[in-house]
Amino acid sequence: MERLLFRDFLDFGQWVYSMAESARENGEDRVAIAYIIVTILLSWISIESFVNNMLEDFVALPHDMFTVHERGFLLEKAVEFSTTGGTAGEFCLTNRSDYKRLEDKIMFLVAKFGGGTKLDKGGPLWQKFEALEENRNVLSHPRRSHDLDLSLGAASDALEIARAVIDLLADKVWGKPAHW
Amino acid sequence: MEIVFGEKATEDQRVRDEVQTFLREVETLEKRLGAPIVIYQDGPMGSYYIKCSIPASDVCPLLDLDARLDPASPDSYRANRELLLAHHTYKRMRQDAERGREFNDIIVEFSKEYSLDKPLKVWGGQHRVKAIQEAFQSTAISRLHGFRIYFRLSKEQRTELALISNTNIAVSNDLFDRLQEETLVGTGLRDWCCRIGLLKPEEDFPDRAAGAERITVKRARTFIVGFFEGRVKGASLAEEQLEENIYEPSLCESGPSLDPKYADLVEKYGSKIWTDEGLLQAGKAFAEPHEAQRASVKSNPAISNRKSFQNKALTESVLAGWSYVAGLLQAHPQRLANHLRIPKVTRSIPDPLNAKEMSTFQHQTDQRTYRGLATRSSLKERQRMAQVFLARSRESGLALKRELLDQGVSQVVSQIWRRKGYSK
Repeated sequence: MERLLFRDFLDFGQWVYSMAESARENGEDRVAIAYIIVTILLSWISIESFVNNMLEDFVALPHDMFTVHERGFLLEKAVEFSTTGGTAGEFCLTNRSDYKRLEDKIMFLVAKFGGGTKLDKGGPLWQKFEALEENRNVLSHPRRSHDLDLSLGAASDALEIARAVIDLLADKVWGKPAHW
Repeated sequence: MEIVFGEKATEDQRVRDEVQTFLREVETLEKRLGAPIVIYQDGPMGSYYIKCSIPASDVCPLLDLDARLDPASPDSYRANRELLLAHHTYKRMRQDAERGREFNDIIVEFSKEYSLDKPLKVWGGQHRVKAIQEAFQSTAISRLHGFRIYFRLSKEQRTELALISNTNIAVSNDLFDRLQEETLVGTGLRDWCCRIGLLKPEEDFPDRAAGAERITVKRARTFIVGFFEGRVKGASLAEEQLEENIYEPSLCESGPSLDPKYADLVEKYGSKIWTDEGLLQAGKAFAEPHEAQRASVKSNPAISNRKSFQNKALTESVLAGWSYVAGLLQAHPQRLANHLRIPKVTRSIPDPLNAKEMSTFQHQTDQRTYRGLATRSSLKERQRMAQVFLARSRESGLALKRELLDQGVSQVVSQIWRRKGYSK
């Protein structure tokens, strides 16, 4: 089984992006679009991979180091108020999946493990991240009424944003740069 | 024949008598010419010696390459390095000897305390001695060779002599360790390794770790220090607190002086350390997965027959992490029993230590150049391996599967981050 890390996905993205550029130079526009779509998705996957693995590291800690809600967040499992049995009157972790949005996971990690710092949601990086999220959502759930930005610029922005978000998280949580 | 003490040497009748005995029994150039013999005394250790020249025909049968640090003990280590007879430098040396090269400053001790027929115990220049002997045997060429002959050496003086004599041939730290161990501690460590099965009877610690495939002095000391460190720590923790810490198994230092943590332990426990029941049990239990690992890798064609895979248990981070956890769990018997059991093998995990999975392991905090879990001996690796073994001890009969490796490493990294920046 392969072990793929965030940097592998971004390497693949970079590689595919260079193929998109070549295709565009050769006038193969439809081929270029295919590569651009893959670049955007790989950039997103790279952030997802980084964030999910970071959450998983915390899951390995003993249960009582976090509140039940924090643990539910880390595991992406629903927390419910129990009304029966020995846990009646307590919040309990269930086996039901409760998937979180990537941006929420990032906010959680920075808020809990960023040493008291907060995300600047009005800043340019977060704005770009939200634009990438929008583009990725449109690609993952396409509708004819949605506009798609499939330019080379959108692909190169996606790579750049992924790198910047990962760097930001590494700095806030690890206190050191990510190894690219 | 005139025998005088040098300007810096203190007169000693017993040394003089010993020198006279030597001169009676060995044909030297000085004796033949009637030249005076000067007895020198070394500054740092006060060892007495003379300088003289002896023809190969006379000296060859008298030279003993199996010099002992402790002449009285048959258990004493072989103090010298293994001879590298296939090395091109040695081959060149031998060719030179056959062409009549005269070698100088060969360091020997005159002693009849053992191997009476070979009273010249070689401490420095064993390759030159071997070259002289072989050349004499094959060509009968007998040239004059220069010797420094030491007399009435103590064990400490002998150790020092062995170390300084070997400096110019890049003596390994492992040889330093071996010599220091016997001189300052004794043969307890080696006997203990034999008892638990990490050394065979009559086997010695290697003088170079690389390629030796058996435990070195440094690693054996690391095992013992780790065990006792873990035992102290574990005694202060309730079972539910075990996973709440990052552990730092020590790695003993090699080299000319005894590792301070090991020295403290030896001083504190004395010879009782070698009969400590918990340590013995841990040692024996450690030797088992080591043997099982070797056997699995050797016999299973699905595993690449790499030496590093075979000897995975002896890598410093695995050994240090394993022994630390064995000590840590002394106060937690059920988890200790889980830890001491050989990790299970399965169809997908054919060797107990799952060496291939370890070799491809990489955490996202690691650099691209990271070569896999437990390939290095750094503190980070020792911490990781301790946590992996601790995670495995939570249940009985677990294989060292990928999830456990992930879990152990995740615990180490996330504890560090959590301590650094967790906000309630």
